[in-house]
Amino acid sequence: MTRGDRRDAFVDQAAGRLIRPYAVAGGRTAPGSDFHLVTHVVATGRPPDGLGPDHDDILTLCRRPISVAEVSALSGLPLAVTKILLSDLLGWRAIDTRAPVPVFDRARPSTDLLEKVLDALYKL
Amino acid sequence: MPSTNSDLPGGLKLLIAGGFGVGKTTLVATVSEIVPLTTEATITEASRGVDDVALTGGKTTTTVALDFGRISIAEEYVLFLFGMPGQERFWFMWDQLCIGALGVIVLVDTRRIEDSFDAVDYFERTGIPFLVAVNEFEGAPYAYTAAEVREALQLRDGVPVVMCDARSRSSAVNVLIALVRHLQTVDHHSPRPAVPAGAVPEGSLI
Repeated sequence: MTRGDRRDAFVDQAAGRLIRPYAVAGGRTAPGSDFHLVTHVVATGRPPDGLGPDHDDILTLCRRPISVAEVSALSGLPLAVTKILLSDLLGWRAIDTRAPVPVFDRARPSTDLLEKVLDALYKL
Repeated sequence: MPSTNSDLPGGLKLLIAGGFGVGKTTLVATVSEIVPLTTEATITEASRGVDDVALTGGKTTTTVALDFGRISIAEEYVLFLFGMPGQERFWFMWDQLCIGALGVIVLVDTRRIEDSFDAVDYFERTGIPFLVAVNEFEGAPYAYTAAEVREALQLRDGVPVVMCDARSRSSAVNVLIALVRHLQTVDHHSPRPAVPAGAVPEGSLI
């Protein structure tokens, strides 16, 4: 079964989501780690045995570096559930993470950073 | 965070605020390198900005859709653009969305300029750098000048006002460039939200 098929099984046109998000998250409501919308994640290539379908789906999305927001959008899972599943994967060392760039941590964003952003924008 | 892999790109966040229907999603779509995506933040009334997201049943949940796009900055960074939910009932999310944001574009429709008052007030209070971009809709009865918009919004000196057409790529890119140029000049002495390592409440939306 492909990922898309399974996702369709979650959602009914009229009734909406058939499996409640908290069921997907195993009843947990808070991720154990700190994931932000723009935290990046990537699979380490060492998947644990016996992953459930949701963890497996998410890990598949992490084969390339990807942000938490994108994992949520592409998996169709709410942000909070996505973070919980990612948190599990991080605990199992199945993914690496990189925290967002700290832009306003008591200082202005570095000149170098802003120059790089500008360069990229000028090329658009 | 137990592991940080510096081979991964660093995420950066820009926010686009403004009233309903002002063109936030259009602006995101115009500059994004991907078809804009939507992430669904499910929250409850009880969890407003505090501890958990409480995905438990039996509470009134609100689902907020956050549209976003992305622009790769060389290999090193990815700039994400998030449309901020404009409706008043979602304002409690703004504090969280602003954490770690590089800056904000307040998009203004001059036919409904009053829709922007609250956003301008909010960002002036938080000290997060922002600029005002006037989305010039076709068929607007009168083309306002930047000076007129500045006066109508009672903007502080130094907050840039730029005119744009959110549907035009070059025009939308110019808004982003104006914002980054503004970031190069603003005084960053005032405290503002940082990305606190581990300090964001568990289960926070953003």
